[in-house]
Amino acid sequence: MSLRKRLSISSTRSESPLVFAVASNADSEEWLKAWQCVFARGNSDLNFFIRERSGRLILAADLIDSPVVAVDAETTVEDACDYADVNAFLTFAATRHKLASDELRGKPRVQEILAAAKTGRVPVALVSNLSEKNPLEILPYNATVVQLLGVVARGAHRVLIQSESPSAEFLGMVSDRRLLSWFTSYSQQNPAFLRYLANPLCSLALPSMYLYLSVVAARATNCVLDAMKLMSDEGVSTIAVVEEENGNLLSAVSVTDIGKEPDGSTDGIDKYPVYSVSPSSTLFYTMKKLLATESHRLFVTDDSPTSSPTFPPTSTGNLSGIVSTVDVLSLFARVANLPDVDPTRMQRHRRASSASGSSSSHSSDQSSFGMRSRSSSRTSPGRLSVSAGEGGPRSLRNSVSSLESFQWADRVPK
Amino acid sequence: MELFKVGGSCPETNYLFMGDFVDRGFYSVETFLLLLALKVRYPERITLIRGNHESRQITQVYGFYDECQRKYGSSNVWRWCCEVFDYLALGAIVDGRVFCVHGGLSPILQGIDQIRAIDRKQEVPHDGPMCDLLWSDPDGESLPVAWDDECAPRNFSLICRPGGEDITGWGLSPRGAGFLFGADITKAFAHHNAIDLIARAHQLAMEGYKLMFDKTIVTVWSLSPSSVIAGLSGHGLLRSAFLSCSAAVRSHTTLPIPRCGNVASILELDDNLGQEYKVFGHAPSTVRRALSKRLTLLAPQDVRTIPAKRPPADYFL
Repeated sequence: MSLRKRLSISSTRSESPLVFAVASNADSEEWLKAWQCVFARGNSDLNFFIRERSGRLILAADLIDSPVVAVDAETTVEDACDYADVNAFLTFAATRHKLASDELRGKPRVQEILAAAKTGRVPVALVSNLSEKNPLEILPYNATVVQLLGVVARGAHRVLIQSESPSAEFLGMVSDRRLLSWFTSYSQQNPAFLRYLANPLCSLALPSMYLYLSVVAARATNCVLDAMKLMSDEGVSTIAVVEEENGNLLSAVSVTDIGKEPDGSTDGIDKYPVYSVSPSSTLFYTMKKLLATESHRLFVTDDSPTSSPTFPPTSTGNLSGIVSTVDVLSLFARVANLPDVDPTRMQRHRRASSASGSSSSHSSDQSSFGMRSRSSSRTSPGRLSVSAGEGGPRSLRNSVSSLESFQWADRVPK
Repeated sequence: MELFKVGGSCPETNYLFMGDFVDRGFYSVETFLLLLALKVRYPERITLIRGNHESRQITQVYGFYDECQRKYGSSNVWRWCCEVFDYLALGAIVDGRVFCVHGGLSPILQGIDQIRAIDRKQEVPHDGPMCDLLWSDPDGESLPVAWDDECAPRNFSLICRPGGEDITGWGLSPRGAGFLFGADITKAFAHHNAIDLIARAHQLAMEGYKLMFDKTIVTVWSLSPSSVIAGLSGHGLLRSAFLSCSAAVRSHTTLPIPRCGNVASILELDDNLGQEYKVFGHAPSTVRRALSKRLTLLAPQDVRTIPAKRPPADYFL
């Protein structure tokens, strides 16, 4: 399997062991028993373990962290969409004129979107799951944490919890982040689990630690449209931005940067351009950092002097791989002996069927499409903007910047 | 500039600038070079310490790199400025009693002597004690520390102490670098190092300054509001004054400075280290007439105008 291939690469590059740290059978059985007692629904607070000791059946604490907001299928894209879908939609919008008409023939949904756009409003139903990263996952009323793990480990970022039958309503949604937070609090109750979490990342079977050149990345001098296309085509929601000269990790661009105010522009709180950990960071630290920064993934950078100078090629700089919330939860899913654990499935599926058409070529006038990546419009928040002819391409380097106004209509020939 | 008008001109007034000289706004280069020129001319009257923006990585993302490219056609000036940044001190002490740092404290550093021992002549690392000093924030929500041992763990990321309570009262910062620390840690640091006050910047203070934790730590926030170098008034008294300064002329073609209706301030220390906060508005002169307590009651304003009715979508066809 590909994991074995990565093993052989990693043994020349880092000190990753060939045998990964695992939890003892006795420990993992104990944890599994506890996790099976915790229901995904529920509205109590984080002290649910105390209640467990008193013998009462647990209603898992606030694992539901978002209510269900029903949106009419006819609501427009801007009002309703998830960021990945918006990115896919906008990427498509910006590159649509490059798609040959015969490519469109095989994509009826895309044609529908085009037709709707001509009328001036695109209903969200057409764009829903355009990125193919937002499948609807539903669990029943009495689902447990273990069942949540099973769904999330297959790549879903949120799970809908049904109400008790015969109601056809939904109680709410549980996000992967909430589930991760639950596991950090479980570690405060179970010392053996905390010890397991104290393992450094390099000793755990995380699938994306040593990707090197496979980390989806753009160079600092690429333009933002390239980044959007890359995210859409590769089925990822964040890409790394690396320095031109040495390939070191500089910052990151994410689908959630669409329509967002630059960090710090209203509260003065500047953020670090990219969130990362090292292979020697503990799993516990990594989980805490994922939660503190409210991000879905951290890049793994290896600045140690022991890295081999000859392989892999030095253009990878210090960027070694990524570790995501789903990767971590998949680890726990394996501990719980769940079958079919594959956190990378969703991305591979997405990559295989890119909606924007991967065959469109990068022509030279793409450089004039350069945009600020983290964008906010003065006039209508939530709309992407591009500078029109202000000399020179805008590069990804300055990924936290303000926006010039832009007219989509000007960008695309009639 | 407004700052010098309010606080008094250098060299009549001593100044300590707590970092963030560049990024955002349109005149980072001029601002930093002015401060450097003042430093060269009056080395004993002005002190510059490093902020988190005095970094190659941050300046590439937050605008200073672009400004240098635009004004000089190459990255040389940016590169040379970054080399100067490497030499900036990480902290300062006024009269042995007021410790100044741009961001905050680090779980790895208990004593100021340990800060002196850091090899600072390098790019700001993305973690570790040098990074923490420039990125950490005091946090009123932080959990109290269990003071069975005064020292924080040597390397936070590798320590996992089994048990119920939160580890040490240090939280990971939502900024993605540095830590959040609470009152206990702040007071313990002050006590351990025999200082009365920690002065720092790094965060916006709506009223220009913000005292926390029984006045053991203060955040000072100053924005230099004008590119015009006004006539500087002289002052008879020699005073020490603290500021944090970020290049802040607003321009809508570059990264905006925070526009939250806040005011700015200079912390002035007199010969007995008595504190006085000089507050000044950052808006044009019409606001200056209200340089009174009333300014502090203004609610933060969100600059984005929200249209009453959303205009029709402008699609790509």
